[in-house]
Amino acid sequence: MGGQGIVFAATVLGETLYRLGYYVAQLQNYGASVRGGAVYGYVVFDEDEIVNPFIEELEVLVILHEQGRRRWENIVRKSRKIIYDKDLVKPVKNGIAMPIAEEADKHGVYRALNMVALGIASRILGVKGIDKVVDEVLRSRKNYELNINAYEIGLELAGRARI
Amino acid sequence: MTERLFLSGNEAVVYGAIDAGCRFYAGYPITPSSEIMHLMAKELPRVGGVFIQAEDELAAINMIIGASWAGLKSMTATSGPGFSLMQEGIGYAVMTETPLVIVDVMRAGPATGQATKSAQGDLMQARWGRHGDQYLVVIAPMTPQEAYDLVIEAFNIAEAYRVPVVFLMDEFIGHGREIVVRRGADKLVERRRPSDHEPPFGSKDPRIPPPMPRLGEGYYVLVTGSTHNEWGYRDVHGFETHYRLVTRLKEKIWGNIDKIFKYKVYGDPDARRIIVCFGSTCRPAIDAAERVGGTKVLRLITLWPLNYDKLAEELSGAEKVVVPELSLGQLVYDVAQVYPRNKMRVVNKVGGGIPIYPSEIIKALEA
Repeated sequence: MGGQGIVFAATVLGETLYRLGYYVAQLQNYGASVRGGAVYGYVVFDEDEIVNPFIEELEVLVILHEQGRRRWENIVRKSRKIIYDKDLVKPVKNGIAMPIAEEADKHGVYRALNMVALGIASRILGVKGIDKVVDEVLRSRKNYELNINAYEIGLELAGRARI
Repeated sequence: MTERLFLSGNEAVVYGAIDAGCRFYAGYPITPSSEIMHLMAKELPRVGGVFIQAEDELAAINMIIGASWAGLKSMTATSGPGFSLMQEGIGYAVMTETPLVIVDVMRAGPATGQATKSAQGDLMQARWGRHGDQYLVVIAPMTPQEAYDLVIEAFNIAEAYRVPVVFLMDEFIGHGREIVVRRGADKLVERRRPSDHEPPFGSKDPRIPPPMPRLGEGYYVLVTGSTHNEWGYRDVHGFETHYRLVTRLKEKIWGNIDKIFKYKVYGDPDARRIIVCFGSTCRPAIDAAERVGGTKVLRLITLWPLNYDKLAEELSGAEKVVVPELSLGQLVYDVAQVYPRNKMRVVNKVGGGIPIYPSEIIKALEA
């Protein structure tokens, strides 16, 4: 949730889980504006066919922007594991604050904040083989180096936080 | 040739159309349908087809009418505002019995509304958007897979009955990505060509669509949106010609309702609690029915012509009927024709790209 390439991040995660053999549904809610943080993207995956991809309760939610948190409070409230950026988002009840933007900035990958978020989500999901396939998917897209670096920073961040 | 792909509904509809034999596309981009156009531009030339970005939706609809008369299966795609602009052309296509597929990826309206947010508010427009007595076919998929499968069906119906078919998707289906199996068409219907002395705009049995000549092959034919007799000659004065024409155009569709109308039942088929729905809204409905049990989901695939006898039959004995829609209520008028309003519950939600959730449908079921 945020406005920093969230739809792209969801696309990469969806494509990855599809390549790993899951049934996948990837959806998003975005606006017509070029800037702004009121965007979310999510992926539902399962070993069986997906009856309904319209869900309110997310297992893992990473929030990168205050605007999104405000607009979709119902989703935030019902989600289970919530990670949010400690500087960009106001404190979220039961959420875990992390220095996502700060770390990204420090490593020069601020432009790929979405990939840092994806790294965090991947680490928490812990799906077998996910990192290798994310790498493959990112290789097929633009800015591979930047994206994969950012993704790895996300993995590390989540690892350090022991979530 | 079976491929398992990860596609958005917009992408799926392109591959479905191509596998149905679509070889001409003209369109004007509009959210949330633009990806259809982008992919058509890429894929059509690869199969020898023609893609044109038209100057606007009026041009687009009229170009595909022309291409269809030149013998190609033709399609366009748009969303609410563009669909409004196309109405005149669609009416002309009904009157001239031109096979077409028009994809409308619905967004929140009226007017420009919310371009990126899903809705189901074009249902009545799809059926009744034109002036005069006109009848066409409306089909609604509920998943990207069905966007692939059912658009093939849409082309087959267009060809079989010489009629425009509106393929009514919504933003959730158009932009949602899921696994789509590109399995190819089971069967393809091709329009019948006239033999000598066979009229292109009339048949003894109105349920049998007349054959359609291909322009450029030497068959002299007049194509006009004005009232015409079976040979295409205008008659803008007489009662007989007009009445015969419009009743035949109606009977061509409604007289074949048993073949055209399709629906599907999910959940418990004997349950007396029933959800009636179409399109993407059926997915939370099916989920809700599975969660609470004792519920039947009646999902309409064909939205027009609508078999009200079948609807009445399926709803007979129902204790409660819930109609969820991503609009302020349009399908509800169909249900109200065969079921008492006081036993009906509606779930209406539109705007902001927020779907109807199973919990909301369950609440209505249990209210």
